[in-house]
Amino acid sequence: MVNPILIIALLLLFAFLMPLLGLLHRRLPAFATLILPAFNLYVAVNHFLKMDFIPVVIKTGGFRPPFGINLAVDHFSLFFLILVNAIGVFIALSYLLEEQDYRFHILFLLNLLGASGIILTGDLFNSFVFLEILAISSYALAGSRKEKPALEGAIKYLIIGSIGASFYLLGVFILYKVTGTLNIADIALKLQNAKSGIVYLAGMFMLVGLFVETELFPLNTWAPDVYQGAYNRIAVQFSSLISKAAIYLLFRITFLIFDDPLFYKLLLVVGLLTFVVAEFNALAQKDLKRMLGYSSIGQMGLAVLAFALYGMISHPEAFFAATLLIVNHAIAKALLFANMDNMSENATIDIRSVNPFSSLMFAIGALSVMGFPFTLGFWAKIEILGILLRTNLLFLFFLIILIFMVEAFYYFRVITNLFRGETVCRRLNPLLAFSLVVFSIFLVYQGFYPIFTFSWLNRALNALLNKAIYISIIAGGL
Amino acid sequence: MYNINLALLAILAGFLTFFGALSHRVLRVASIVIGIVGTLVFAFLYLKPDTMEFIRMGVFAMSFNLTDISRFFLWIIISAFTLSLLPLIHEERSPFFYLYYFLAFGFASLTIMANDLLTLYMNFELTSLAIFAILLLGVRGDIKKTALKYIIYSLVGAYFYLGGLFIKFKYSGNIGFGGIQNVSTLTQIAIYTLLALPFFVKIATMPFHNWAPDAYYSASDSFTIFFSAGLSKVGVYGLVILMLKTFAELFKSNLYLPEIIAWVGGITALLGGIYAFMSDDAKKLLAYSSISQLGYVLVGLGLFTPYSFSAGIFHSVAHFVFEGVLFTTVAGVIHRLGTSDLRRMGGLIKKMPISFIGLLLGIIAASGIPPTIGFPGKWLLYEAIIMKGDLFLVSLVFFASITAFLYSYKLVHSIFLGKLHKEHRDVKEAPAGYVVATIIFLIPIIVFGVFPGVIFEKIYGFTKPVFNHDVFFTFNSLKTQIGFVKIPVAGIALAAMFAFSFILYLIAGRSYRAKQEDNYTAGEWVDEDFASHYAQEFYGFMRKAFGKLLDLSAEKFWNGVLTIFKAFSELTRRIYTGDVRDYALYLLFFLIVLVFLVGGKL
Amino acid sequence: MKILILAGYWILVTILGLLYMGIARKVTARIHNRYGPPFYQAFLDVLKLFSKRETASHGVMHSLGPVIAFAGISATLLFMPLGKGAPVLHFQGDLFVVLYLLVVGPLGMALGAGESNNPNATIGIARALSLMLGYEIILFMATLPVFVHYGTASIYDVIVKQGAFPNWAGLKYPLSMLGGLIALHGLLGEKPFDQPIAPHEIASGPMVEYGGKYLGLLQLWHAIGIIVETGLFINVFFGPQNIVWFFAGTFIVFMLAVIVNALMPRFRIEQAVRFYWGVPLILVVLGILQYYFWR
Repeated sequence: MVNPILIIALLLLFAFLMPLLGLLHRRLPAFATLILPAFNLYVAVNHFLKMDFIPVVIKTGGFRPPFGINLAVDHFSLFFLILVNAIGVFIALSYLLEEQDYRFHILFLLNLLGASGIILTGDLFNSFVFLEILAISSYALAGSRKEKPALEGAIKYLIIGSIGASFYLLGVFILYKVTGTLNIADIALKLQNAKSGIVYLAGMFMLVGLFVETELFPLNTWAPDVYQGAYNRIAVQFSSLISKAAIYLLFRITFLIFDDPLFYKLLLVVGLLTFVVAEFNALAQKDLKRMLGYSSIGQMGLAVLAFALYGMISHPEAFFAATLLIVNHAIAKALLFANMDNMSENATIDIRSVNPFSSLMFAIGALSVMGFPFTLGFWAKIEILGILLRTNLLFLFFLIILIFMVEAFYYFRVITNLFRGETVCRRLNPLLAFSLVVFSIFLVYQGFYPIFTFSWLNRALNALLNKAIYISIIAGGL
Repeated sequence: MYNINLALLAILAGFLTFFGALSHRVLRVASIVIGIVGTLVFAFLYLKPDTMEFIRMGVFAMSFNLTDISRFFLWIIISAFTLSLLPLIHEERSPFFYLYYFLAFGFASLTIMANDLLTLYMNFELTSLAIFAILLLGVRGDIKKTALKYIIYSLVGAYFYLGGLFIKFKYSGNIGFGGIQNVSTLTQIAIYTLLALPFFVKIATMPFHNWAPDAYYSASDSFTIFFSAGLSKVGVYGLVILMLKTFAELFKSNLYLPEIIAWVGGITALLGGIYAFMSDDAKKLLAYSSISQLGYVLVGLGLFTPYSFSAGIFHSVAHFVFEGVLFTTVAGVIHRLGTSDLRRMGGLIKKMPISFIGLLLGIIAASGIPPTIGFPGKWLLYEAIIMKGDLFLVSLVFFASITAFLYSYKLVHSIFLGKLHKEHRDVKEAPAGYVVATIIFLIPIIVFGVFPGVIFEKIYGFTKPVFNHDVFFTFNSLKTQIGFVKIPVAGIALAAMFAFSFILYLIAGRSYRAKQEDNYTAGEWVDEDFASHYAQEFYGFMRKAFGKLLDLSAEKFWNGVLTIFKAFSELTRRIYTGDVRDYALYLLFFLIVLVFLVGGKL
Repeated sequence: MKILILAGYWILVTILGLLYMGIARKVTARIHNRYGPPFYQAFLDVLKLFSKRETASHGVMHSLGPVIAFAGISATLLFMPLGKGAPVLHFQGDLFVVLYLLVVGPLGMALGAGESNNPNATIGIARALSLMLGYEIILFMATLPVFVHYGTASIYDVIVKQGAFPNWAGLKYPLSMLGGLIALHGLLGEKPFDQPIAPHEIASGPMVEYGGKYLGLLQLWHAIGIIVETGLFINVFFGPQNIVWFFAGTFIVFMLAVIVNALMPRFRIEQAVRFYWGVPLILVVLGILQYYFWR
């Protein structure tokens, strides 16, 4: 089996080789951008299916952990790796023929590098490095469109993101000072029994950094502007790739290191606030992309909310619900944002000129985000309502249902306009259309028969929940 | 296995018709006919009681089962569907329309065959989605607003249902139709209300009815036949299942819940009737009439005595029949005239006699006059309410039934009686599809009106296990503790007296045909164009009688609720000021909050 | 045999109905301080009308209107007991059958009148139906306590169970009886509730285009209608123990109505409907409450 470190290595290599490739042939960068995530996907799937249920340590530089930087590969990280790279393939394939500026491809590969690195790494400082790579390439990608809304969004993101990243680093330093190690598993081991107050502070700092990337309230203020202004494929990247890698890190670190009621409660409140504020904001929007952006933020909040409920009910179903929601959202939002290419510029919710294909794609994506029966999102919603009820907090349960109604309202408002608009037949990018169809079929097929997603998800979650094994193996170093 | 296939066959037929419609008019007609024939053949041959499980995932499995109740309602839906397809042959619609039509039917059938609450939810949602799609292809009115209103009302109801489903699961450990043990009455009532809400929306109970008049008005006319006569029965089915299987004990023991629901039904019946006769549009009038008649059904179901429940179900069958024929004939008229405005019609009895007979029998049934199908349900309902001792409720229901006379007459007079307008001189009878459907509808109006026992027998089959009551009917008569009626006698009496009256008429002098204009005009000279048709503000004088009552509007209330939500969203929107300095401040404040949180541990 | 008895009843009712109508005109005239036509005038009218050689008609439906009206009221008569001892067809149908058959007549009339192509006719019908919203509900609510008191929905059973004076239901439930009386007044269509006919205003409303044999049928309709409507009231509230008392009772009640009719002007239609929702409604509501609390 291929060593996963190749994922990181190759991404880095090709990112630097891009200008050269660009000189060789116009189209070469685009192909490279397609091949790399596809390769990563292959490696990840291969490992997922063939690997034993024991985490694997990949050493770098010949140093054994906890001294060297190492990668920690278990099914949970592989699951996210698959998700992130699948989205990568989606983006690369859809825009394969269009983007010829090699600078975009560099940024894209670096972004993917950051995401994959975050997911694979077992070292805390390493995670910061990859987080920064992810963030900086995102800043550039967000601002890649040379128009005022995009640039404005990028600047805001840059400012908030930088501050957040600094605090993340501060947290890392504190943990290093307290535990003397940078290996995540080792830190978890050392902090298992006694956490001093300063550790909590470190955790808070790290959370601030992570909240920016995962678009949680009140640090997600940059997100609506970026979603509205950036190119559609960048919006796809933000909703389905960047935030998903960041939320992986959030889940992993919280569960491994900061497994404490205080943190879960904080995540619960932050997630709830994010969800409520974002969904109501979406209701007030006139611009379609901004509305979708708020919807993304809301879904992230809901995922974090579900995750945090583990702290209350200690039932793995909480993680199941959160991760299922993340998968559904990644795919459905990718569908929705990429589909915006088929609609007019600056589309508002009173959209008038549409084409039937894009209306259908929008409808399927929207129905899945809403959790309509016979889409993948339905199962996610059922799981979330299930764990909410386990908490016996009826008020929270009905509040979430109320917000679901709000969500349904603003999505159906657009769907109604879409299917009553005048029809305009635009030339469709065939590769984009193909990718959209594949994703929509996946959503509906999994809606009917979600066994496939469920079984993979269960495998991933078993790995996550097996904290003891993870710690002993990775910290011990094989 | 076979029962699901009915629905799957319908969906397949939908796609067939889609492609057929895409190609050629003949193929369109052919595929519709194939759809009708296929559905009927399949239904006759293969519908048998059977259970089936589809997907299994942990505690949940998508399961279907064809019980007696399911079969009863399924037959109503199948009949409504096939009969509504007959007029559809004459309408030109986009290919997608036929697809959604068959889809709506398929999912409605699946909903009725569902064997647990979640399966029911899933298929119910898809039925609503299919109907939403059909409404988007509507023909008149503000289509966007109508379709959006419909889907939002349906979804809100469905979300409450979902909440109720989970709570029920929490207390009973399963999502089947069984009851819940060991919970307080209040909790049970709360769960019932949550679960029943989407069905109340579906049968347009007030105050959740606002989607109905617009939706019926907008939708294509043949679809409205299926919509009113068939699809509303999905809502009735849901309520019947909930009341008979899950909450039977609650209804039997609680004093207040049956009363409240029955009164809601009664008020719906009354207000529906009033809005009906104040309407100036044929389809809106029929929409309100449908709402009103379903109100009687709700009274019967809600009161939960063996007689009232049977009466409610019987009346829903009657509703299917007479609303079916009413919508069919009106659809035929609209097809020929191109308008549905009652003020512009008149005198069509000369041109469309078969439609007239259809409409006439329809309104006689809607008014509940024996020996039509509208009578037994109402008769039994009155007896049931009186036996329960609810004198004010029975007065309300009686009051509501008087409004039926008013709107019935308005409908028949404005369309068929009176003066024929000049532009309608060349109107022909409705096309064959409409006429055939009308005639087929007329058969059960009389047959089941005279022999209601046939239907009561089926109803008895599934109500006896719950109520354990004795048989109260024979083939053609009904008997309760306080009253008795033998329907054929009423029919024969009427027929005999009519014959006698007719003989009197014949033996006395002869009559000559006077022209329309040869009329009493108090000495004024008039010509052909004299406006002698009374159609504007037909019951306009009643506005003064009702006064403020007509200003009550549930729609204004729900719009108000929506405005509150939107206002709140405007508030939250302002958090995102657009100024990055504010955003940085948010970060700072958040950090300070976090530090405080941790403060205790330091 | 049964048919002969029914036919006999029918003839008796028709003759007495026409007699009532004639006497009513005499009484009205005397109140108006004039002589008035002879008491058998109604018979003469009907005979004259039926002997017309030809009549104008506006079409099949128009012709059938009075036919159906007459058929309807005759069928209703078959279900209306004429006091104890004259049960007619009561075994086969009860109060609700009567109430609904009572509508067939006006409905047929409405269909026919609609075909008159005269707006006066339709206005009359619209008013008649709207007026129903007033008196019909009061009538129903008035009779309810009586029926529930005796535990039956059959009119004949109510007569039998009541017995003779002083066990009349009307005395047990006086408020309901008063409400019922006011409702009956509307049902009979006597002033101030004759908006549907309104001779001076809408030229007799539905009857504007009917003459000859049609009008004859309508007169017969009216005659039987009087007996049936007052009969309903008398049967429910005063349980006549034989047919003589039945006709005596109906005569008295009808004359009461005629006297009020002679003295009063006409309400506007919305006033008439609203009137019923005022004092009469309070009376019958109190009657029902009386049933609940003080039997």
